[in-house]
Amino acid sequence: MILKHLSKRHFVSTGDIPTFPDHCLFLMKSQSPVDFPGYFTAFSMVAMLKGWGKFNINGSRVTLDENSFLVVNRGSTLSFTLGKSGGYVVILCFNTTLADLVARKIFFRKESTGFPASAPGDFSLVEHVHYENASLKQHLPALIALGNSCASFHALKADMIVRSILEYIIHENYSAIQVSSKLKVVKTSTRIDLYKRLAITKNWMDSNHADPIKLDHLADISMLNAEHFLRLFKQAYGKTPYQYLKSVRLSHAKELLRTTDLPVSAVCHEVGFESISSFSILFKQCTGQSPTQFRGKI
Amino acid sequence: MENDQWSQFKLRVNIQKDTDAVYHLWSTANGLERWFLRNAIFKDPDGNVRDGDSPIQQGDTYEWYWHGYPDSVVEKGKVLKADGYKVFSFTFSMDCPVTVSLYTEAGETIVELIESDLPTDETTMLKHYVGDSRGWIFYLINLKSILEGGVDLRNKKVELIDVITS
Repeated sequence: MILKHLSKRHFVSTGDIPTFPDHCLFLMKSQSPVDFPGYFTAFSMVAMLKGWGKFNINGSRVTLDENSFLVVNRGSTLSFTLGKSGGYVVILCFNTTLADLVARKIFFRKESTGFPASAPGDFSLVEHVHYENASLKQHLPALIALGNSCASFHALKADMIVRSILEYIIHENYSAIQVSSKLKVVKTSTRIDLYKRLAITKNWMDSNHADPIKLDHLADISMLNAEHFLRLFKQAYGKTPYQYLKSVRLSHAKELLRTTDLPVSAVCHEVGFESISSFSILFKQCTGQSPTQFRGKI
Repeated sequence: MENDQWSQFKLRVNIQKDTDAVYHLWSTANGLERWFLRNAIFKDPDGNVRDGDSPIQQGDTYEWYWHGYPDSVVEKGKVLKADGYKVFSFTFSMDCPVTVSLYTEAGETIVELIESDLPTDETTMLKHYVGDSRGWIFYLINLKSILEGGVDLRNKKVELIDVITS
């Protein structure tokens, strides 16, 4: 991996899609406003380590902060602006050849599922803001440290981290292809657009599962009407948004019961359930045991 | 220097121990953890994890974890050869083969390490050549230190970064 300071000269749009013979981590720290012009991107991950920025990806505007990151497909156009207090932007451009090789290796391993040959290198389905998986973003400071390091095998260790990020995104893309193929739409562009709306909303539910969540709010996030959102979500994920939310809350509850000493009532409220009795009934329905029994058997 | 000359490097270190003792530290998971890795996992071709003291065999795969780094930093590769007494070979960074040979010279065991097939493209040539050779130099010195004096030179603290000892 090569560490570089991001400057406009690296990304002057020449009309060509850039290729990277090695992973490149571009950093830009600013304490004043920045207006970065649009350029054609390589397959990359974009994040804000400090502050927030407004990014424009193929004409769609998204805001990134310290709790989110963006995956960018090869050949997309990206520009961004940082507000008055600046920020710390990180763009990790993946080694073009390696990304393709890893993707093909993973896809070919699952060849029997019959995905189109062009699918491995196309990441348009996951080209959106990701809120969950803080661990993925936590790798970035380690990468920056290794990029300037004198540690033994520092380049090798940096490459190992980038490779694990890359594999995560490729698997995410693989699963996105599977999920989106369940949407009953004909046009590919519509399928991609609808999938992204659903994925962003599902991602948002993962991050905000502990808050009261209403269907109308989810529909707003997906920018679809409530009925349409409900129908599409079930088509794609095989369950309603409410069923999905319950499963997320239950899985967090199990984790808290396993790893903390919090009383069951506190666990119930911590993960977003309002009533202890309905939480206990649901928990027993899904796991075959009460929360107390579950904790007792660990 | 022609690019081809950057495609491999050879390192030698002399150790005042017999070859059997040195080979053991290269060819078992527990041996490797004494001077090189925080955690070494070897699996046979059927995917069964080998016991820490059982000898590694040709065809095994490995996962290596490092002191000073979380489990997200993991090197995966394959054992290419393990003859049981003097040659041990495995894939390493970018799947480059690393061959370790042991032999005696002037009454001491020589550990000779050759990493070959390194990429020679202009962008990454130096990174692999310098990065990997520098890394092996430290760990070979630590192997010598462990076997001759018992002092482990590795940094084992996650909070201590940017040092050549991890």
